[in-house]
Amino acid sequence: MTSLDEHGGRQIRPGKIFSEDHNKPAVAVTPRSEERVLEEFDLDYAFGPSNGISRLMRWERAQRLCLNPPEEVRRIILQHGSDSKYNERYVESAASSYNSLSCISLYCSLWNRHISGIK
Amino acid sequence: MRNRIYMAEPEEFLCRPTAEDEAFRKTHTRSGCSYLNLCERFRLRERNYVTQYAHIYFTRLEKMRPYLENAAAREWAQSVAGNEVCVKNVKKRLLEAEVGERCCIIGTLFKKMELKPSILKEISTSHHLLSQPPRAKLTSSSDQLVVEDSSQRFPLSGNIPSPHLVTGVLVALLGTAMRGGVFEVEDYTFAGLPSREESVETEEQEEEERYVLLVSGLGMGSSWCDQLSLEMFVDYVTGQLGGVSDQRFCSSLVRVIVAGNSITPETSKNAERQEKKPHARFQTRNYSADTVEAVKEMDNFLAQLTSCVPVDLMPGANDPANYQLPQQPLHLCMFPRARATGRLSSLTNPYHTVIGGTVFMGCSGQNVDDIYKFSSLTDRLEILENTLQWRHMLPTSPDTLNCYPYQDQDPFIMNTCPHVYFCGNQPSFQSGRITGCDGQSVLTICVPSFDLTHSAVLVRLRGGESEVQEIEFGTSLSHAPNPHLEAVLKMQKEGEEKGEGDGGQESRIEGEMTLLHLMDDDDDD
Repeated sequence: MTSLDEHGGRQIRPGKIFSEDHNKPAVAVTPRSEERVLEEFDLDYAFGPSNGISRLMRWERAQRLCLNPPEEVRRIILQHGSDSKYNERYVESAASSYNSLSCISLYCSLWNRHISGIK
Repeated sequence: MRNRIYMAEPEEFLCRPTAEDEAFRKTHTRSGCSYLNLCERFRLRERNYVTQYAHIYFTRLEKMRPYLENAAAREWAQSVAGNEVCVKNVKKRLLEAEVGERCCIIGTLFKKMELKPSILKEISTSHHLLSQPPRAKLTSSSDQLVVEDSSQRFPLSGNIPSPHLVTGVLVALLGTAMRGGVFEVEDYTFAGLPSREESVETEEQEEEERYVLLVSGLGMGSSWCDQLSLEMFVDYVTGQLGGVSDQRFCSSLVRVIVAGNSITPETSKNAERQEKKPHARFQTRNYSADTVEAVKEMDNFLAQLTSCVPVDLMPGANDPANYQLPQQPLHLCMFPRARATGRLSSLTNPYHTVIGGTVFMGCSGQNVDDIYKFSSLTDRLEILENTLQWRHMLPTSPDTLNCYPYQDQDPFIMNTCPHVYFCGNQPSFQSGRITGCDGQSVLTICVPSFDLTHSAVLVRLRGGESEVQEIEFGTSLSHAPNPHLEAVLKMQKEGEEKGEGDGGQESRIEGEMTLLHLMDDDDDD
């Protein structure tokens, strides 16, 4: 389950995310949003690597290997359609990775110009 | 021809048939046989190359985990004198193994080898740095074995034969995690032979004798190709060779399996050499690639064979098929004459069929050749039997043997036990029998390469009790060994002696390059 770190931000701990009685919380917590449920499914490495595979396919693979993936995840994905962004891992969209790489290269070139004194 | 499964009657051979000879007038009909093609699981439907190879390792581990747990329970439950610690202590993840606790862990082996070719070293060639000279064996004394799963990895020490093992093998280990992160191994076990499915056709086998002929490495299109041996082979199979008893014998030959490398590797090297020379357009008009000529020869050969016997054709490392395993079937448009007979089946490279109730599984030799390079084992039959014990046909894929990046399956795990397990294109014929813990027995065969040894392998179909024999189509009058085979074996031996860890001088280990040097009269550029 998620917990709060010292700065008050929500922190996801990898590992056994889905505890046995997750539908009966001891303390009242805000209901997890659907994106959060899917992100936790991505980070749970008991179901294997999540990079480069759609969530539905990863769920079905876990089901076939008898790893008991949570039904809730499948329901959320199918509810939004298997073509939607809910079916892709949240980090692995091509646009976002391109943007981050291009930002890094831009900053590097700017830094190089700065240290070599070019205005 | 030497043979042992049957003996030709010498009185009939080369004798003129008499008018009363009933046996001469009789036409022999080839026996029919049931045939089930199970290569569909190796067919690739949609090709998605964007994914990483981590998925295939994860799937392999999770699929094999129940088999390894059973193997561990079988091996160690009794040996620890009433102590049930081992069985209960099978750790689900490596992360759960605590320091000092004796437990059983399951994971994938990884061997850190400094001589393993890596993409970084290939890039270094573009910077004019010395790349590694080709070697027969890439093992060295500093290789370190590591067990890993999706949570963590442990370097291994103790009772485990690390020179014999390769990356990608799944293992169950009994031992203790030590302080410092090393796992001290007391005992190890593999998944073992798969269980056998009940065969439906046991009654049909006992009625008549049926045989299957395995051949590989035909090497069409090469400059040293021995046409006489190939013609003898075709004539023997089509019943045009030998006496009446030979013809009777050949009518019980129900199938021929061509296990890869039907085209010689020389054609691809010639093509590379041709590309480097700049050609004017008028010089290339009548130029046809060597591979095309070789494929035409193969078509003629197959057309003769398929005129009277069904043939299964597998692609190999040198054939015009895709490079990655599983190699897809060679397209039948390349063999128009053979295809017209309707008896040619083009199948995938890991091969799986049921012929007359006998399950055949095999590969064109890339798996054994790759394991040979990365382990210290020299006996190829032993390597083949090890892949059975590891229950995986291509354990070194995708690490050093290129394979398709499967996302949700690993089709190379053996789910059923074959009766006959072969690998093609080996330097010599070897066969053995291996028995699993349920009593299932498998006949293992290393099919020799025809262009080196001029021999094929005959298998008598008897389910689990199949027998095997080599048939040589030798063309020399003395029983002198093939000089090309001598050269290849000598090169391999030199390569093994040199291959231990030192950066040696340039040495050409590739057998076919040596043969080109011996036979080639043309000027190279």
